[in-house]
Amino acid sequence: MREKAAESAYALAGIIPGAVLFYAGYIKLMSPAEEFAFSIEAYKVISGQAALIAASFFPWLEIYLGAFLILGIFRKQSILAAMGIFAFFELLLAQAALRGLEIKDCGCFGAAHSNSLPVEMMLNLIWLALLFVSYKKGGFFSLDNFLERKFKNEK
Amino acid sequence: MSKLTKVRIFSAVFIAAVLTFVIFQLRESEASPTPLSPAFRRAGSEKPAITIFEYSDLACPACAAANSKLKSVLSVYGGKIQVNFKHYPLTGIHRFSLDAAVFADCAGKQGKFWEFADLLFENREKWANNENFKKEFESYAKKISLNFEQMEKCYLDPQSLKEVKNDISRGDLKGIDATPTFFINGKRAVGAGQMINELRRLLVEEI
Repeated sequence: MREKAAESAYALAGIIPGAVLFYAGYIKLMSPAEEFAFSIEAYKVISGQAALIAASFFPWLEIYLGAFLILGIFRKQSILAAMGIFAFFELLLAQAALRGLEIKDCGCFGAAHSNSLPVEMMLNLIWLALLFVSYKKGGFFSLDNFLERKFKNEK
Repeated sequence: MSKLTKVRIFSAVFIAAVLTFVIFQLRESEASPTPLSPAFRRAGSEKPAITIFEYSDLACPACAAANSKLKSVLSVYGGKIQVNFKHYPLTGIHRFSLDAAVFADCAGKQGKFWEFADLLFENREKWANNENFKKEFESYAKKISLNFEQMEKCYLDPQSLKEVKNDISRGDLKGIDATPTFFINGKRAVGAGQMINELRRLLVEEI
């Protein structure tokens, strides 16, 4: 019983950041890429066409990774990729904070709603920690595990 | 490659494909939420039963006609309706309608968006393709006691252009191909006729 509860908690540790990525991707995909591109430009790392390309590509990456994390398909690879994304966001936010850029909204959830820089930095660290736990311990409730067991039985 | 890996790859591709299809369907539907226009481009109730998004070009004659009809409706049903003006300048036909949209927003920042927009609609033939459009705008600004110097400063601010471009890209996402296009409680209506019909239907339901 205790084991099951622990497995569920480890599964949630992967699902929660997955849901965050999925939601962030969904909200951005429901809005024009230009809106997100303007948010990217505010970080003063890339601008113009490059920002628009990033704004068109990133939300898809977020939504696919989010779905893979929620369902647990290519779980370990998805966790590593998601950790890479959150770490990248953290660096982006940190450089903006260090440079004293005036960014009121992080643009993380498009124009619909956004968190302030410090809140988002804190949240990113939480998602990273959850993903780390899920990488180390999770996997029982996942499509990967289901398929592995199914194919083991078939053999 | 083991059978398990093949199944996992197939599952991942299948999930991605379904997701892509669903997202594209949702983007084209009315499900994608539209943010309200800034307060100076909103009219009517702040707690409306009927929300209208009006995608309009300040140089388009059909938009001018629809705008005046909408004003009449608002004068009667302003307590139930909210109009959100969204810029959708057709620069292919009206060279300076994008500039006009930015200037109108700058007038809005001085609290006179609707008054300035009315003057732009009325005099559209004078400025729509006129390189001296700024002189025209200056005369309209003077008529309604706007600070034109401040408006010009605002016009040159890249943020002002971005706000208009956001409207345009949202209109593109909605697949707008004619102005004026309205979204009335999410339902599309093209032109004043469809807009009035849809409003009448909703108002009857409401009453």
